[in-house]
Amino acid sequence: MQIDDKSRETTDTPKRMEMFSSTGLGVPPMPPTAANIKDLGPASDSPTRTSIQAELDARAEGISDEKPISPFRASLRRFARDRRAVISLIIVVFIFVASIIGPFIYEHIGPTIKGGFSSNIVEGPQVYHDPIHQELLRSDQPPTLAYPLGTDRVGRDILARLLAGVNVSVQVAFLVLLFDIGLGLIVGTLAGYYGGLIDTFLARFTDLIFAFPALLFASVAAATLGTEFTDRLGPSGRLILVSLALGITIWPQMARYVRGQTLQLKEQQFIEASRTVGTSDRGIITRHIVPNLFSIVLTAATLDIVGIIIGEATISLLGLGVQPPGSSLGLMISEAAPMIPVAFHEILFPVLTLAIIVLCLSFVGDGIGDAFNPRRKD
Amino acid sequence: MNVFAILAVVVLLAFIAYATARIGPRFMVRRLAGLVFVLLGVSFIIFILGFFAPGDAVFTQLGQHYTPQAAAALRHAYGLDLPWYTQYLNYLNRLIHFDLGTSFTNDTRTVWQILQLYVPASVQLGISGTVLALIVGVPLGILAAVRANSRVDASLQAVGLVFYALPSFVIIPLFFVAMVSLHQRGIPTLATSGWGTIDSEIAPIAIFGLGIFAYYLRLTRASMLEVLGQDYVRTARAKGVRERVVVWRHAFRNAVIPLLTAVGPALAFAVVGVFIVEDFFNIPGIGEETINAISQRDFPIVQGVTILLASAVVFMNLVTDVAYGLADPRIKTQ
Amino acid sequence: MAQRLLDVQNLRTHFFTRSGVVKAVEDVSFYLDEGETLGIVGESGSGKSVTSLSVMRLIVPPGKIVGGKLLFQDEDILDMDEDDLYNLRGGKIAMIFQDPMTSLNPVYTVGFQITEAIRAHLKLDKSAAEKRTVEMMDRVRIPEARGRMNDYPHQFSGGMRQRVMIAMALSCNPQLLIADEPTTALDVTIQAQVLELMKGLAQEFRTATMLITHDLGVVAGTCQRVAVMYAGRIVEEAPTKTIFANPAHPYTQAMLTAVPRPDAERGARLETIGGQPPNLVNLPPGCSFAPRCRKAQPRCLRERPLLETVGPEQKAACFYPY
Repeated sequence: MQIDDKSRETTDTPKRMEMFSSTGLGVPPMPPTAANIKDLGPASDSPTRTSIQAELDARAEGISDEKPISPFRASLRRFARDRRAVISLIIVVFIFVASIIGPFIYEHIGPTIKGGFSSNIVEGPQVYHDPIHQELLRSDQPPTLAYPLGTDRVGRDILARLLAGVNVSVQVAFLVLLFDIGLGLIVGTLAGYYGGLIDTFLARFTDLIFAFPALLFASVAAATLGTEFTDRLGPSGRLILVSLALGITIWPQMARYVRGQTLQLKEQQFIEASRTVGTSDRGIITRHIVPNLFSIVLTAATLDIVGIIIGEATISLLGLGVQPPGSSLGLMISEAAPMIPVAFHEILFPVLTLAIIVLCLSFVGDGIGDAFNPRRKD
Repeated sequence: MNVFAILAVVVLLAFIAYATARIGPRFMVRRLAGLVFVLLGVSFIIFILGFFAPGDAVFTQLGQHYTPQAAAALRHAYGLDLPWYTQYLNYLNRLIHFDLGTSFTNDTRTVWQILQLYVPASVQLGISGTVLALIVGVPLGILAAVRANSRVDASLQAVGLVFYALPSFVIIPLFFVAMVSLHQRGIPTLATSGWGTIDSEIAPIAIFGLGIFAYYLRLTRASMLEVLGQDYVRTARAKGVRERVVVWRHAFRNAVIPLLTAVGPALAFAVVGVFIVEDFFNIPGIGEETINAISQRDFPIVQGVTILLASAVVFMNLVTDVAYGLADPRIKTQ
Repeated sequence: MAQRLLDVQNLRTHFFTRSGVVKAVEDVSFYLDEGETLGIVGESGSGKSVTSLSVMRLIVPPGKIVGGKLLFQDEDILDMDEDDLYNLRGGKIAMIFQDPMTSLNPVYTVGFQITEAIRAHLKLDKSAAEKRTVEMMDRVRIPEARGRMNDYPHQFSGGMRQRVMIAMALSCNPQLLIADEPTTALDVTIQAQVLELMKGLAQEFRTATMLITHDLGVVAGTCQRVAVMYAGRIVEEAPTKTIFANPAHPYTQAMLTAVPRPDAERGARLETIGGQPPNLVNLPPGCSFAPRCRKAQPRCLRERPLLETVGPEQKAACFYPY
């Protein structure tokens, strides 16, 4: 085993491992290592060209900082100065919060209309602003007062469906992140700190996940186990299944970052010092290592959210995730695709919503990567 | 055994022999062991998922002719009544003989025959898109790195970020909307459906290539930036070789090493792109076929596709590992 | 009287970083005659490396040469076009860097890298260039040069790699060799060998040498003249003997007392220079060394002393020399 691990270091350079896509879904996540974050950085970022210059910068910086502040505060301050990232964060938070509380407000907004099969039933917004309520006589409508973003091909309110769809994204992202961070943190720390069997397991499992077409795994899982989960857990069973499938493919990447960081931390002097005064392994891990993993986990998690949201949309788009009449951004896109020649607004809104979420989250991820990576310059 | 399988084995053996001679047996043995492990793992996972999935193809296939006796007979014929480990071993045994079984829903054809029907379009889409992306992405990535922090760099980075972040199912609908509105104004447009004619292939290949292009652009830029900051690049400049030579011979030759390692993973990621592009453009490829097979629970086909894709990824990883070994002299002689 | 080879006049090189303008080299003037050896001494960050890279015009953004003249054989390097620069670099001025581990390209054989330098400047065909490569590797005393030509840098030890760098630098008969801390990264036992080799070859090739170091001991045995740099400026310049016998600037004096000497009394304490070098972004008025100077007077904090002749062939930038 030892020979094997050693060989891994020499031939499987860390860079190589880190450049791998973890999910294979949507985007191959660029890992938050210094080398790559350089690439993710804003255009104004100045790369270090020579050691002399780096030294000069460090000197120029080190002395101009007058009051010492905690690294965390310093990172927050750096993040706050990144206008693009802050604005993106505000937009994303707004969209996510809107998807959670929006429906409760939205069902009270709007005029009464006459609906039903012969347009003789008086309906308030509580009825037609329900994401699964169909008004077949009002299908494919462009935006109106009652339907601010129009209706889809079976007369459902697009805005209501968008809110419900984003809500699904948020739920899945939340569930997967719990899994991702939980497992990634535990396995990564143990693998990095103790090495040995758990490290080998992580390495092999990562190999496996990297070779497995992740989308296929998630799709097959959704297709084969979907009914089972729905039967046992109710309507949200499918979401849980999709989340689980995404989680399984995404956590090894997180574990690898954590492992790498733990390995580095382990060699630091303050940990050596702590060991010499008799702190237990457990104490070192919980008090010294885990708190120092915060920035790498935060950076990786932000970028993972993008992958998760795209992943869920992809699975639903292919008809294997959220089932009609439920709503998901992916499902909305696939349902609206045939309607493009007739009513392209139906596809435009979910596509733009997804685009805005994905781009903003990428900007936020960049900003966090820049601000929280200790190796980066100001 | 068919011609393709024999050819594949011959090519693989020749490649392994060549690589072993160039890089040394230890490296190759390790790589091959990893390869076998991954393939076993993938086949096992996919087998287990299929095995424990509720409901089976026997219902679908018998339809109205369903009787418990007929079902039992059919299960027996497919070997579905055996314990799971026996089924798995049988499955592995068939795999070794390049036998992927027979489709549940179309039992006149073997999985191999079905794959041969759908693989060419996907491979063509995947390869042309990737080549296009490399041809455009790598030079632009170099340009961005050489002109770091200039306006050119900033715009290339912006383009890279947008196309890297946005999934193809955001780009394709926007493209369709544009095509429809052009068409309605009487302006000739590209075909948005089908495969086999140049006209119908341009759009899907270009759109598939866009996402990969952005990936390579960013990767190349990052890799080049790092290398351009190295001392040996300064040495090259100090000895008075031309900047063009510095960039290509000294910097790019080193930057290519991490790029190579990204080719294998990029393949895994390209699979998603192929599935989605095929779905939107109605291309008779492996993606369409797989999605159908999944919804019809035609497990032999799903298993076949998974094994095929995993083998392709693992093989590409092997190839890039070897290329890595050849590109970096430090590995060969260690 | 020897010909003037390099005449640097009022060189200023600044780095435009996000934290402000770093004045890495400010108003630096010195000269070098043909065949002469000049040492430039200073602690890290004093601007000595930036000075040498400026002479080669190898400063990359955000660094920029903002003023001065770099006269090489009476021609200003700052006025040269690309083609002239390609001929200058490696051809007329060659450079050896600090870290031989990272200064050679890992993916090419050392033979190729030396040959490349030769073919960039001497009109030689491939085989003639390779012949010269072997000859140069012989002269830097790399054993079995012909066979080792085809080895990669990682197959050489640090000292051998620095020999390769020396071979590469001298292969085109440059008039000036700039050696930037050539022995700092090497084992102590190897340092003397490499230094001796460089000194000997420079004499054989009649190459002037600009030796950049933080180590006064290196300067003592190698250089005819020494320029001491502090915070981007030259604070003292004199023949080596004078510097050691009779240093004028308090900084030079402090540096000399900080060098361990074999002839020191037993139990004598090694002096250190207190404090930190200044931040180069916002240099206060007055002498940059004043905050750390034991002899500083109020005037030193208000006015900047200029580099002026204080003795025979000796210049110092101090109001209160000796």
